[in-house]
Amino acid sequence: MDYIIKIKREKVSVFKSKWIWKLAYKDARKNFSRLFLFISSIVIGIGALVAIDSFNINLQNDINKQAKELLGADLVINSRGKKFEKDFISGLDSLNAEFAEDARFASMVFFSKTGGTRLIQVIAMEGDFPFYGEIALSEDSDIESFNSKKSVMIDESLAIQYSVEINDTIKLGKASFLISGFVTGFPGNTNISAAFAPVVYLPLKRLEETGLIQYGSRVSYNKYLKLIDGGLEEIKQALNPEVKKYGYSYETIESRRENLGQGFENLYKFFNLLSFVALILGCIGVASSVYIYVKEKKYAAAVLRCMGASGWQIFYVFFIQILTLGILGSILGVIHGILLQYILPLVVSDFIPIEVTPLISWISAFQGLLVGLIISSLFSILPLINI
Amino acid sequence: MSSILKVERLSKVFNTGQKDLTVLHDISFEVEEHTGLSIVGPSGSGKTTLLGLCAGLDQPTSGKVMLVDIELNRLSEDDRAYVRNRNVGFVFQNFQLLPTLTALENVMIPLELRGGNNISTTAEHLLDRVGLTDRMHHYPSQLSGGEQQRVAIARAFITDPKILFADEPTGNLDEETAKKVTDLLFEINKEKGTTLVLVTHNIQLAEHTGRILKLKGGQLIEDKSISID
Ligand SMILES: Nc1ncnc2c1ncn2[C@@H]1O[C@H](COP(=O)(O)OP(=O)(O)O)[C@@H](O)[C@H]1O
Ligand SMILES: [Mg+2]
Repeated sequence: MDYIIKIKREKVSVFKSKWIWKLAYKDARKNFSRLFLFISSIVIGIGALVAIDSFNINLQNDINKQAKELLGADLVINSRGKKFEKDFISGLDSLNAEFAEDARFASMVFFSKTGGTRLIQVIAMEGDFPFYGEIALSEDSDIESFNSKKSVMIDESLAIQYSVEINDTIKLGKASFLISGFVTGFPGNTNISAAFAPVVYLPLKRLEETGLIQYGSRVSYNKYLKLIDGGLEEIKQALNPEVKKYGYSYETIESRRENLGQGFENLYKFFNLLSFVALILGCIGVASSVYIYVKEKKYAAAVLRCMGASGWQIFYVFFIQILTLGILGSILGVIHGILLQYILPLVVSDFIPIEVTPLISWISAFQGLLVGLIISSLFSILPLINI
Repeated sequence: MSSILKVERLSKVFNTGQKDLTVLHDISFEVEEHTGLSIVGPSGSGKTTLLGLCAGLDQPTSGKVMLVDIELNRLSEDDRAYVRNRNVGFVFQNFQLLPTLTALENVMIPLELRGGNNISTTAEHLLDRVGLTDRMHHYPSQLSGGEQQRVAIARAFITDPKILFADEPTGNLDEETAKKVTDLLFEINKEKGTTLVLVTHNIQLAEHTGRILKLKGGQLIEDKSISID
C-alpha cells in the first residue's frame, strides 16, 4: 500500500488570515499589563531620543538665529588693556556706521546700606548698544535717572543677593552712585555668568570719577559697529592689518556663530550620549520583556501547534501583538519626546545665552518612530522564531 | 475496514545529557476506523510519548506512523500541523486551554485555523451539547476542572475529527466529575463515530473501548481485544 508523503495546503497571507489578527487581539486583551515594561521601555528610549535630537536641532537653529542678538552689533573690535589708538579711531570714523563702545573690568563694589563688598564686573558704556537685541530691565528701573544723574544699574541677581533696592547707593572706587535700575538680561550674558560675575553698568562718561582706570588696569575696551550699508567683507579686509598692528581682535556675527557652535559641541556630545544611554536602556527593557513574554507564551504556542497552527501563524500572532505595542509605544515616545522638549529649554536656560524655542522637529519624530519600530521588531523576531 | 492509524516498529530515544533514554522500543500496531483503543501502563512507560508520535507532534527515532494514509515522518512540522487540524482531535490531562481566551473562543480555535463562516454558532452548539450554555464567556480560570475538560472536549470535536487522542482526560478530576466527563466523551464519540485512542489508568474505562494495549518500560507487552456486549 502507498502512503501519502506530500501535502498540498493552500498558503494564506497573514493579511488575509483574519483569525491571526483576531487571536492576536483576543490574547493581547488579557495580557496588556504584562507588556507594560515593554511599552514603557520603548516610550523612555524613543522619548529621550526624540527630545534630545530635536533639542539639538532647535539649539543649532536658535544659535544661527540669535547670534546677531548675542553679539548686539555687526562688528565688535576689542582691545585688551589699552585704549584704542587715536589713529585707529579716526580711521573708523570714516566708515558709514553707527558706533557704540564700552569698557569692561573687574572691581570691588561696596554696598553702603548693608556694608557688604563684592567682586563685580564693571561695564561702562556709551552709545546705542545693543544695535540688535536688547538690554532687559526690571520694571521699576529708571533709564532717565541713569542717563542724567550719577547713577548705575546692576544685575538683578546681585540686587537680590545683597537686598539692594532702587535708590540705594553703592560705592565704586572713589565715587558713590545711586542705583537706578536692575538688569535682567544683557546680550551674551547668562543667569549663570551673572551669578559668578555680576555686572554693574554705568555710563562711560562717569568712569573717570571712579578713579579706577589707571595705568596697568586690566580693562577690556570694545567698539561696536552697526554698518549702515553693509560692506562687512571690505571692512574686514581693511581691518585685518590694522588689528594686527595694534594687537586688537574683532568678532563678527558669523564668527560668533561659529564659536558658539564649537562651544556647544560638548553639550551636543553630552546630550547625544544621554539619548544613546536612554536608548540602550530602552533596548535592554524591550529585549528582556519580550524574552519573558515569549517564554510565557510557549504554552499557548504548544496548544496552537496541537490544534494545527503552523509555525508562521503562531509567530505572526505574537509578532503582531508586539509590533502593534511597539508602534503604540513609539508614538507615545515621540509625544513624550515632544513634550519633554518644552521642559529641556527651561532646565538649561540658566546655562546658555540662547533662548531655545521648543519646535517640533518632524525629522527627529519620524526618526524616533522608525527606531522604535526597528527595535521592537528586531528584539521580537529572534525570540519568537524559536517559540 | 481500513486502518486509520498504523504504527510500524516505532522507537523513540531521548538524548538527556550524556545518557540516551529509550522511551519507546519497537512498537507496532494498527487501529481500524470507527473503533476504540486504550493504552494502559504505569506512569513513565511512554504512553504520552507514543500519543505524541501518533499525532505527529514529535518525530520518532526510527519506525513509521501512518495517519489517515499519510506518512507523518516524511512531512515537515507545518504539514503535520495541517494534517492534525484536518483529522485529529485532542483531549489532555491538563485541559490545555488558552487562559487568555473565553470558553467559546477556545472552542473556536481549530475551526478558525481553517477559516470559514458561522464558526461561533457551531462552537455554541457544541458548548450546549457539553452542558456549558451558561459558561461560554467565562475564562478557564473561572471554570472548575470538570468544566474546563468539557470545554476541551467541545474543542476536540468541533472539527469533526476522524481520530481523537485523549491522554488521561480524567487524571486531574475527582471520581464523580471524572465519570461525568468520560460518559460525555464516550457519548459524543459514539454520535460522531470518531476513532478513539485513549490513555487511561482506569481498567474499566479501558475495557469500554474494546481493545487494550499495555505498555511497560517503553515496550508493548500486551494487545488484547475485549468483546463489548
Ligand atoms: N522531552 C523529553 N526529554 C527527555 N525525556 C523525556 C521527554 N519526554 C518524556 N521523557 C521521558 O520519557 C519517559 C516516558 O514519558 P511519558 O511518555 O510521559 O510517560 P507516561 O505518559 O506513560 O507517563 C519518562 O521517563 C520521561 O521522563
Ligand atoms: Mg503521560
